Amino acid sequence: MRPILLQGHTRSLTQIKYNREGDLLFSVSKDKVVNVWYSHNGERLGTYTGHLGSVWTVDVNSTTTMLITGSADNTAKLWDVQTGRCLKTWEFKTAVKRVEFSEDDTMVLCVTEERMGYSGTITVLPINTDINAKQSDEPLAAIHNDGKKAVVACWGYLNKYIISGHEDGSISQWNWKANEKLNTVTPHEDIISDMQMSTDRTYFITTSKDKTAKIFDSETLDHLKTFTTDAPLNSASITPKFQEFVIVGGGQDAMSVTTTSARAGKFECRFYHKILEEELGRVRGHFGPINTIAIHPDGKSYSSGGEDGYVRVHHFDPDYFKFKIEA
Amino acid sequence: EDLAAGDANAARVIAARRKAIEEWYAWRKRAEKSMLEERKAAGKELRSADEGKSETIE
Repeated sequence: MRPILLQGHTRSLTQIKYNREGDLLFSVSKDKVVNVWYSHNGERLGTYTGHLGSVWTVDVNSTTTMLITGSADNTAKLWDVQTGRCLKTWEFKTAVKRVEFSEDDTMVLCVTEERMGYSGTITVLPINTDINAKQSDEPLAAIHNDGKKAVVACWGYLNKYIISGHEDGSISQWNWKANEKLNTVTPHEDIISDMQMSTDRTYFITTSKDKTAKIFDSETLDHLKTFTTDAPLNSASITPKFQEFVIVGGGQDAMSVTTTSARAGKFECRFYHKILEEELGRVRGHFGPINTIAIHPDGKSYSSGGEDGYVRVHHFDPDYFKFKIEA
Repeated sequence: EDLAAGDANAARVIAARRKAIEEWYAWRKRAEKSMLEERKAAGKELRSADEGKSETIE
């Protein structure tokens, strides 16, 4: 499993995302750059330039026509995937830490940072799926949380809910149209760092600095699975087919990395059996913490983005597909 | 004796795994069914990336 190294960022990666077909991989970084790559050979296809601060988050719509990014420059930008043209800039009061298209591409959610008198919000913006249309400035809804700030959020299926992950390890489910909290649980002991839905959005995985990843039922927020590690976690992703696995990654915090060797820093992607919660293997390679993990929608490869500024694309060996646990 | 104890342990592990797998798939079945029913009711059924080529919904 020789990885392909994507060298196009000069600072740490913050999020990577495959498009629906998986032929393209989008990456964003603290270096303000948004890149798109061919996922099969690692060739860079283009960049989206315009952000003036670290880019925290990226998502692509289901037809790969539009890209949304959120940045420390207090804006979210909508891009034409094909030409790289910026279609729209939305201004916020604070940094945009997380964006995600709804499954029908007609909306995006934007999680904004809480800072200097501004409370963090989850803002829902309407998207006109016509690339040449004018995009609206008016949000459809805004969730104002009464508790600790939200750091990540995902759409539920049929846009029924927005599920948010918070600084204090809590997870909330929202009727976003009414700004109404339907349910909340506090399964993590520290800040939630990532939240990714299963393909059909009936369940999702979270990671936390508390060194665990957990799976929940989207409908009930029932806690289903726990994956326990020995390092703070930054990202986790669920394999869509072939194997019932999850891939988690993290590592010692960036602040203390210089004092630690790569081995001691635990900078590996770890594979767990999703149902049995047993660790099955690790993939080394990054020189710093792993910040973001994405699995190709065909389930045959995955990518990781690190604090070291690299994206590593891994295609699974034949052995991966043959693996079967005794049960 | 050790061998027999080892076998018993292995059997226990395997039984526990089997139970976890059964419970997971039983829940998956319920969750998928209610999700698909809701989708149908809303007139928004699942599109898969390889539309037409396969019918697997994962």
